[in-house]
Amino acid sequence: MSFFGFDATGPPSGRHPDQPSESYDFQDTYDGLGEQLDETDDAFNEMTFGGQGDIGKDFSFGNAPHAAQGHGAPAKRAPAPAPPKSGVSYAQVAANDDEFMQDLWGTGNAPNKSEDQAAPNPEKKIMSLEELEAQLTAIDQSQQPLQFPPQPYGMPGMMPPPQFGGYMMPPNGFMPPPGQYGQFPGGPIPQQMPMQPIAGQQVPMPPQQMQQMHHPNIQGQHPHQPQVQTQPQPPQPQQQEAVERVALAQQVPNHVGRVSKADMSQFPVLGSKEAQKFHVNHQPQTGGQAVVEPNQQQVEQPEAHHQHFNQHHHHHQNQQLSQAELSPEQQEKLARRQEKVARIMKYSGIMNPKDKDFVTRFQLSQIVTEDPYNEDFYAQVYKVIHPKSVNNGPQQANQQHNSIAQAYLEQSGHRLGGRYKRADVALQRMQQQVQKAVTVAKERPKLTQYAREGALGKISFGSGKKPRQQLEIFSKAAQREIERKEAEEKGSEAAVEGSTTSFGSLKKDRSPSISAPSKPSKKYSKKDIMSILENIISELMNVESESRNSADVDTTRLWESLRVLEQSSSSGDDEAEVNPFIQCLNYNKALKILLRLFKFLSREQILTIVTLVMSNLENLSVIKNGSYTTYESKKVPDSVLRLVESYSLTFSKVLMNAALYFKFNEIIGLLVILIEHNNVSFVSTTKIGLSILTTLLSRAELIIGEGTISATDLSEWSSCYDELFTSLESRIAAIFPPHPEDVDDGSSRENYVWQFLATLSLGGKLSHQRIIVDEVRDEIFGAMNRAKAIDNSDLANLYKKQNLLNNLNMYLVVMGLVADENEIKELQT
Amino acid sequence: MSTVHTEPQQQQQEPLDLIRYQLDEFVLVKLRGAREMKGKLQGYDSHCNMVLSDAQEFIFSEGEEQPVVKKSEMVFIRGDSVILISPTSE
Repeated sequence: MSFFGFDATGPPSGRHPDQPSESYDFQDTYDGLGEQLDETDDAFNEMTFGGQGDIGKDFSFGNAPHAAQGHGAPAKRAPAPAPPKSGVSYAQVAANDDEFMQDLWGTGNAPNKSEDQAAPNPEKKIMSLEELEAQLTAIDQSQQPLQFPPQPYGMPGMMPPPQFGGYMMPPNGFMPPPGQYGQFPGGPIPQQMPMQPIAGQQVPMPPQQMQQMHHPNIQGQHPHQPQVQTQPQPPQPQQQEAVERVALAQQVPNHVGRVSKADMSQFPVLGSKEAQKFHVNHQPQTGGQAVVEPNQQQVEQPEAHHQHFNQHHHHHQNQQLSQAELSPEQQEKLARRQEKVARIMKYSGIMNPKDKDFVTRFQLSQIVTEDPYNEDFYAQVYKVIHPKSVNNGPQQANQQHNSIAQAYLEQSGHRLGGRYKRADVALQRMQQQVQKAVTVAKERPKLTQYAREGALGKISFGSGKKPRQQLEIFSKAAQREIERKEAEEKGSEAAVEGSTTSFGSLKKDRSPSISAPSKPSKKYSKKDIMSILENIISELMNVESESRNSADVDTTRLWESLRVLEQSSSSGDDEAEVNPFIQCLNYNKALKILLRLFKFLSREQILTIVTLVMSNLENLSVIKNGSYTTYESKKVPDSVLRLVESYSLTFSKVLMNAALYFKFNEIIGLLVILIEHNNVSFVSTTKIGLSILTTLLSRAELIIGEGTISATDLSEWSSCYDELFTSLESRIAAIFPPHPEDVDDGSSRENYVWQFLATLSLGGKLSHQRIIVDEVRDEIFGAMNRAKAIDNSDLANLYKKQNLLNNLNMYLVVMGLVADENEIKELQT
Repeated sequence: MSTVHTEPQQQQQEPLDLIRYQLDEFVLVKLRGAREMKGKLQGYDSHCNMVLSDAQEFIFSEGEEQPVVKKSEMVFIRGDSVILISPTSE
């Protein structure tokens, strides 16, 4: 068993363990071996070493013969410091620090006392177990507590307790981290034990005497004890206080009995002192003997069990006896107090020093603020209770702007390192650690949160004044929604600006760049389109009903409801993103109102719409789905055919009417747009596309025929025509739908092709006409053959024959030819 | 998708607007008595009385796989037998 100060290698120095007279640093005194010891079999030490006298010399207290006295084994085994080691709680240790604390927080006597204590050191420290036990017994007998000097401080090992106490004093009343102390089994704790006995016994008793007294004492004291306690029974509380003072030794006069409770309000000592008190009170009560709670001992120093056992036994008997003498309420009081003490002590030693150290640093770092004296609750309270120490204390005066934690550290630093020159390296290191923690906490970013890359949310910090927040999580969906909306608003504004320009600039706008819209396009569901369409219809009906009452009708709302300018699009765009008006044109009911609608639109508005349609021809379902080339059967389905029928009845008619009012250059513009934005050869394979082309071309021819066209316009036209012809060239035959027999029923269904050919030929030069004739020659002869196939006698089908020839001639006439069922002749003028 | 709700000129929509949008379109009307009707919606009112043109009536009966189909050029459906109205292709 290695214990404090024992130098096993040193020469035997009589009966005392080698304890150097100078103070030890914890770091120096502890080699860590104590922790590694396996003490479970210590009880057999006697057997192992008992026969050897040499050992007995080194440990003067442990002579083998004493075993005969009943508990010799424990006594021998446990050297002097050992019992105390086992029996002292932190609270007790802290109790010894009271003086320091008083010194620290305002009472002036401490320095002297400590000096006094220092003086007796050498002798005291050389106490043997016998001496100690003698002191123990003497306490009861002497009962003169107040006169004893606070010798415990003289013990070399006594240094730790004050330090320890210093840690008990964090301004906020934390449980102090005992730091490294707990790791010294022989360190601070053991010394407590001797100290209290000492309090009762000033003169060390000879060991021998002690030995003899030892056992008898325990029993012999019992009769005494009650007497001692009962003697001053009336003022029993006071007596207790007296004993308390003995035990505490440093409890300065101004701490009188219950008054000392006021001291507990000294916030630095708050937690620790209370604990001390209870403990102290407890001890005197149980016989005035400084017997330490067995429970604690067991918790902290199991190896000292035997020793405890004795004490416990003693203690117990003592208690029973004294209880018998006490009045019932006193007993009750006693019981309550004991219970309380037991409760308090129950958990002592649960946290290891490192835990406490950690907690303290953590707590300290949390309370660090810029303005501690205003923000720290404990500081406020302390200031109220102890205005003096805040304002008068020379050190504290300088600390007005420091944190309370630092104030505390500086205090303890002065006390240990400065004033008493008992600097403890370990403590100072601890101090530095805490200071570091405080600094770090201060320097921490003032932000209470920050977002870290990859983190799910923002990390928030907590502090004493601002507790930690929950994670703040922002919904990305919400952010995206906002961004999308903003983008849309900008986009639609730009679209409106771009589209409201006059036609001239509109033409330029319809350049290929338009087909690649830079902004995200709106998508329209069928429901949207239906809604827009119904809106148009109702607006139209409003306008119509208004127009019956007044000639001047405001059509702006109707125009806006058309959404012609809402979204620019061109052929080939995604179906859902096409301009809503163009999408509306896919529905029959939109076509039905076109005639009525166009009546209320201005020429500019109509031109805008037609321009839009020209650039979106391939987005019209009649064009997109209206070409036989897209179907394997080369047949356009009925549903599309019906729609095509509607178109030719409505849209084509409207366009024809509108084209009457278009100027020459506007028609050229429309054609250019059509050519640029659509695949002309594809459009030409559809009935509607072809009829639109025919309409524009024929209108242009008519205007040219009027002869009022300028040369520049004409050249523009010829270049436009060349362009159109080039795109059609070599595919002209494709404009004839397959299965001509189906449409060749004498109705006018097929004449749109011949009409187109006629119009195209009319506008072109001879070279153009030759190319056309060359390409459609098969169709011409085919039509002639079909006409020929119909017998002149078949009156029912004769009109078909006539129709075929008429259609054919419509084209041929343009080139000055005429055809009958047999031959093509030059037209006779 | 349904950007219509953000349209500034959009009026307040009501449930019957969904029917209004189907005017002149083909709708499927489910009726009491295990019947359905398909037809082009010509008109409706607030009681969901409807007029369909080019209508086909499908009468379902237990045990028969194929419903009985009746065609009518123009038909009036009384609203109290309507269960649901849905757009449909022809």
